[in-house]
Amino acid sequence: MRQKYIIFSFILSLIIAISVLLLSQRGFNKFLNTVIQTIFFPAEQFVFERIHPVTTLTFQKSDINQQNTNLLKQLTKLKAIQADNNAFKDQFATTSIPPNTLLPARIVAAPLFIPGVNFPNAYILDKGSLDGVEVGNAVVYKDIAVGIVTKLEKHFSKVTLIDANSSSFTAKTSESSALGVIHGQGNGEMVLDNVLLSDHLILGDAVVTAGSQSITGNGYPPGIMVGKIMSVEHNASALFQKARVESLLQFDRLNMVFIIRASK
Amino acid sequence: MKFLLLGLCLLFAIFFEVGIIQLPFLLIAIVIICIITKSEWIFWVSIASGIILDSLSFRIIGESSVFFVLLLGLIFLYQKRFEIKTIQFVFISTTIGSFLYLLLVGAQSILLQSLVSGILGVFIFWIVVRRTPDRSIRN
Repeated sequence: MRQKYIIFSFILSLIIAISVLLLSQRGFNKFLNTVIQTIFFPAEQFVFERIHPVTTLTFQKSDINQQNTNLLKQLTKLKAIQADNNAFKDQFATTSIPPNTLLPARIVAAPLFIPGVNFPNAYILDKGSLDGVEVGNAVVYKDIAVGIVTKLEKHFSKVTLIDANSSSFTAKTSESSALGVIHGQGNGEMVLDNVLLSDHLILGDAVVTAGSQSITGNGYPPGIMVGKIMSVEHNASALFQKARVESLLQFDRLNMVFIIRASK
Repeated sequence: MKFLLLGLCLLFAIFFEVGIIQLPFLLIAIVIICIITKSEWIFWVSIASGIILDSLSFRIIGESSVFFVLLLGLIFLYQKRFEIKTIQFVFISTTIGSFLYLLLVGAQSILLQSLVSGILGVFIFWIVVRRTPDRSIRN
């Protein structure tokens, strides 16, 4: 009797199972799937999250990755702060310019500059008229001339670099005090022109600004380093002699500069 | 109480199989329950648990149920002539059953998984038999 009951159960259950399978293959399983998954998936997820070691490790790895990203961000910020600190330290340790007139500014852009192709001829700084910057303010880095503020917005300013084609100011050599005019040639080159033939230009001699400040204090103060003489062009038949000058700064590597504000 | 515990065991077997390790835990559980109890209600349990397993595994609902019912039918057919409550039979039935089931669902490393299933089945059967107060199971 029991054996018959088992056979009956087997046949009936097999018919039901096959019916479910056929219905499922014909697409009648959506409702059943929804009900089963709604009921059992939360429990399955609960078990999965608590028992599965790989999942735990994945969660931990994910957390570690997140922490790593945050730490990297913090490290980048700290490095930037450290670089700023070094720049400040270098600037205020070496400068002969009164510190209260110096305004640190971060270079936020270098228009038309393509690394490896050309040199920057202008910077965009993150300081503008609201910070007390004026057109004509000189920009330096460690007592070395960088350029002049030529355009101004409320929060930003444009600095034309000393080697730009439009750059021109008076300068002199530090050893022989030969006076001349620096003309930017672009791509990091400058020419000290209009030097009298009677003056003596020495290779390697430093060129400093002769001082071109206005009554309001705009322009280059005297004694700011421009560069050093790399070659001299002395022609006895010419009116003047000239020298090729190279800046001591690598303009494509700067991150921060200092604006010399006009004293009020 | 006994059925509630059994249900929980089957549910955990399903959850383990779906989410934790790709071993046919439900098949092992059903085979062991069938061998120990020799009751006909295992057919209905196998249909229900097979449907839940297929749904949670995103397979066609019913294929596991059909396989389980056929496997249980074979086990009952075998027990008409031979003693099935032995370690050897548990090992053979779980190993071959797992092999065919894994073949059906398209699993990988079928042979290894089948052998592990067989060993696991024997281990679970051994524990259950040792701890069950029912004398008929102990013999």
